[in-house]
Amino acid sequence: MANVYLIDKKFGNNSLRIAGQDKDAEIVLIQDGIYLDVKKIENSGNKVYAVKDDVEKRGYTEILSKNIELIDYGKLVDLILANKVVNFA
Amino acid sequence: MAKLGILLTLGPYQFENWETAYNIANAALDKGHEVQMFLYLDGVYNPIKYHTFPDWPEMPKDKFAELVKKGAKIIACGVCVNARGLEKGKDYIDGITVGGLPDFAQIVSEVDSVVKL
Amino acid sequence: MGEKNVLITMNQAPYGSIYYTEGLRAAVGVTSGIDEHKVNVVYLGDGAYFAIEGVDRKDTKTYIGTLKKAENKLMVEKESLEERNIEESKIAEDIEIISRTEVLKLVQAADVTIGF
Repeated sequence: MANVYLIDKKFGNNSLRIAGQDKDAEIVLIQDGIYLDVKKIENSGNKVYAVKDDVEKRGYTEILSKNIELIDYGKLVDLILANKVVNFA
Repeated sequence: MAKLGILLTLGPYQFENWETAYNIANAALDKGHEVQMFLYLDGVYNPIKYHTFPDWPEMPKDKFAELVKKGAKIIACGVCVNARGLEKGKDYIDGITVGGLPDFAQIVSEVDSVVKL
Repeated sequence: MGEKNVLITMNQAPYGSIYYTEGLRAAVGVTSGIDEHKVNVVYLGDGAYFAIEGVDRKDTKTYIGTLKKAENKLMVEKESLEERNIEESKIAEDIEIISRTEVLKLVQAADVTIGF
């Protein structure tokens, strides 16, 4: 079971630092969280997702790092229910 | 089938967290999961049946009604409801219950995961 | 599912917005059900400003009293204080200073973490 971090922009800085140290973290950027710079945690090897709907409506698909996987709400629900949720939104 | 809890703390008119909460709840219900939502702070403003806004084809309260119809259990924080002059939720859409934080504690007990928005 | 271990994180500065007090009301609320969930509160990021000794607690002292009586702990992240140039000597004595590594351990030990 992973720790799924749901991260919005307003709590982004500190929560990314915590998630970056958690070897069991899977990070989901949600709402304005898609604007967060996740470069600092790329070395952690943690999987980073972003909510597709949030990315597309902000016109950010081409700008977002290619290392981030886009997921729909169905996949988000799967992640949330199969893991422990760490809410930073 | 699993159980999902959602804590929603923001209202319908200045933030869009309600929409994320709706989308997650709706996707969970479509997958056959159970959804229990607790409306806290300005979150209690979402299901008021008289809400109207000329430029919106669909109001947040209509989306919440959709969740109720699909079986979501939605409880509003009574202290928050009365603090905002909503008089025990008398103007709520059908199916919304007014309760208290012990109900949220119970949701935490019952569900597999909690999402806070 | 029964009794759970809940971590409440407080991420916003006191005053200006109501989260510093309504987050604590929620924390107390989580302890108030039939199942007595274990609740810890940790101040992170700008939330760390609440840990300063002189912060007015008129709106929060009841909640803090209730949490402490049930042996639920209040903590603040050391790194958040350092990033804000707040000396540890300025922190209220009932709030424990812990490292980010210890915060992560609390997150890992919790069944759910809820941020305000």
